Parts: sequence; structure tokens; C-alpha cells
Amino acid sequence: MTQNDFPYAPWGKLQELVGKSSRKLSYHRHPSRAVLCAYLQQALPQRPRNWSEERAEKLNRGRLTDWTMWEVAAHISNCSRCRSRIKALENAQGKQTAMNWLRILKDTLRKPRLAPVGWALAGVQAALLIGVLVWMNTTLPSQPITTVPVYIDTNNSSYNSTVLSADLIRIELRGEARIDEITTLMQTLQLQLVGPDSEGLYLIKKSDGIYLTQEDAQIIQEIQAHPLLLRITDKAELPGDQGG
Amino acid sequence: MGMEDLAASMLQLFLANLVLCRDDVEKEDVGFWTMLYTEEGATTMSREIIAYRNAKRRVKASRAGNPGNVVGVLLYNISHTGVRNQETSAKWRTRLNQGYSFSQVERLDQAMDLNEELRGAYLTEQDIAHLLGHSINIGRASKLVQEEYEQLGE
Repeated sequence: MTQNDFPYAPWGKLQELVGKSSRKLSYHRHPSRAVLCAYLQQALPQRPRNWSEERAEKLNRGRLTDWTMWEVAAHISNCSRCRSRIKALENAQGKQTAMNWLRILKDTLRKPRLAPVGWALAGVQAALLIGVLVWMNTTLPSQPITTVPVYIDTNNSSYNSTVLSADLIRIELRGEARIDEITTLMQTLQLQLVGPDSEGLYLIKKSDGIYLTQEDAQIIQEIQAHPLLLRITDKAELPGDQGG
Repeated sequence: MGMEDLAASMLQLFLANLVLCRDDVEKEDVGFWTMLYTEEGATTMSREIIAYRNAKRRVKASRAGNPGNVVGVLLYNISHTGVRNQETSAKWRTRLNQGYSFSQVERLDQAMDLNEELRGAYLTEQDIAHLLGHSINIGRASKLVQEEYEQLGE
């Protein structure tokens, strides 16, 4: 193996350039949110039709109206504010995609014509949900998703084997609820969601392994304090309760 | 920010683009921004950047080599730029041992951050191979870039 302690040619002027420490400065004007989204999706043109000093001057002031990939990247590399915006947009896009998937799955399973095969589809939903959770875990670095499976048990076999009673409480996750918010809430309340069933509803398991019933008034009250995340259903129509 | 700083950022983005194994850099892009950066050394700098791009295109077209080798030369050279920093070297060794993957770098701004972090790390050929995920002979790959550089001067 070649042991070399100096750069390989051609690296003369480039060495000077790369050796220069870059300066992060704040601009007074910034690309719009729509432009940043387009940049993330690589949907902007790579370069302007013509480079000109006038255009470079506008870029230098953040005053461009028709941003291109090169220009947004140059702005971001020098602007800490837009770097933060880009990171936030990246996270939001990832979460939105995942939640859309969950919503689609839930809506699909609620269609009445699918009721006879509801449980089969619930299995598919569970598998897909696990896939989505794994995907979110790998693409959303800021989210503590690794704890989600502990608090949302998507294994319907435990659901099936449950001795169901009319008193069991089932809840619905709000469409806009974020997985990390639900997880945090479940951690705080020391509860675990089990499901979803064919209607997209979840049972709630307490830390002692017993499911939540109408008798657990205090816990129900605490859950009801989070109406944006969870909705307690009316009198439960039991999932998989084929015998009536 | 002065125009020279902006031009430097833009030129570093062109290098970042090459590091991402893309070759969207065109002569007119490089020509304009090198002139804005330094009128004196603009021709040489343009030739250097375009030489890397052409070498990559040549390897891609031949299907015999791996364009990642040209990226390897760039990464090696970037890491051998600036004052050697033991702390940076150690940080990179740890990162590589922990399985850092170059494939996580997808965007121009991310590649530019990578270049900045590499500066002064003085990574070995083996480290670069580790980073790229394939073996590489940097000396041989750099000859290809040098050939392209010389051709541009003819």
C-alpha cells in the first residue's frame, strides 16, 4: 500500500480553497419555505440560465426570487438559520409521510365491505405498522422511536387471546397525533397500547398486565386530558367477539 | 459577506457535488465562480475541478473502473489539507470503527459539512477505503485525474 503524507495532484489551487475556513454568517433575507421544500425534494433547477455578477450579488443578499439547487445549497452552507429550517423540514416531512401511511391503513380497515376479512387485514396492518415504525426509526434521528414498540404492541395475537369483556376500554389514535407524543404519554401513564383491531382501535394494558376497564376512572380521566392524541370510544363493540 | 467568500462557498459546493459521485458541475459554472473568486488563479482552479469531473465521467463511461475511486482521491486530498489535527484524526478513526457510512451523505450541504470535517484529518488510504466501503489505490486513481488535467491544458 502506498504510504503518502501529502495530497495527490492535481491539488494546487484547490488546496488553497479547501484550506480556507468557511465563515457562517446571517442573512437578512432567506429562501422561502416552499423553496427549501423543493430543495429537499431536489425539484429545483440545478443552475440558473446565466450566471452574472448581478445575480451573484442578489444571492449574496438572499434576495433571489428564482432559486436553483446550487444557490440554495450555497445559502444554507453559510446560514445557520436556514440549516435549522432545513433540518426541521426534513423531520416534518418524514413524520408526515409515516402518519399518512398510518391514516391510510386505518381508513382502509374501516371500510364496511372489508369487515369479513378484517382480522386478516389487521395482521397486514400490524406488519406494515412495524415496517413504518422501523422506517421512522431509521430516518428520523431526532425522534426516540426505539421505545415505541414497547408501548404500542401491534401483535394482535395477544389481543385475540384476551378474555374480552364489555367493560374493556378501547381508544382511537387521533390522525394528527404523532407517534413520539403517544409514546411519551404512554410512558408517563405506565400504559401500553395493544392493537390495532379491525376498526383501528387499541386496548390499553396497565403495568400489571390487566386491561383497562370502565372501573379505572382515574386513568381514564388522565387519558381524557389528552383529547388531541387519544379518543376513548363509546361503549366498546368488542373486536373479534364472534360469539356475540 | 464578500463576493469572494460566496464564490469560495460555491466552489466548495462543486467539490461537494463531486464527492457525492455526481457530475452536475459544468464548465460555465466553474468558470464564472473561479473568476469571481480569484482572477489570477481562475484558469488553474477551473482545470483542477474539471479534471476530477472528467476523470469520473471517463471511469463511468468505461464501466471498467469504479467512479468511487476518483471520489477517494478527492476525500484523501481534502483530509490532507490544512494543519494536521490529531483530535480530528482520532475522531474519524472512532467514527470509521463504529461503522460510519458515507452513504448517509446525500445532499450538497451535507457533503460540504463532510469535507469540512475531513480537513486536517490526514486519513490513510486504508481509512478512505473504509469510508468508501471498497478498496482503492489512490495513487493509481490520481494518475487518471492528472491525465485529465493535462489534457485540459492542451
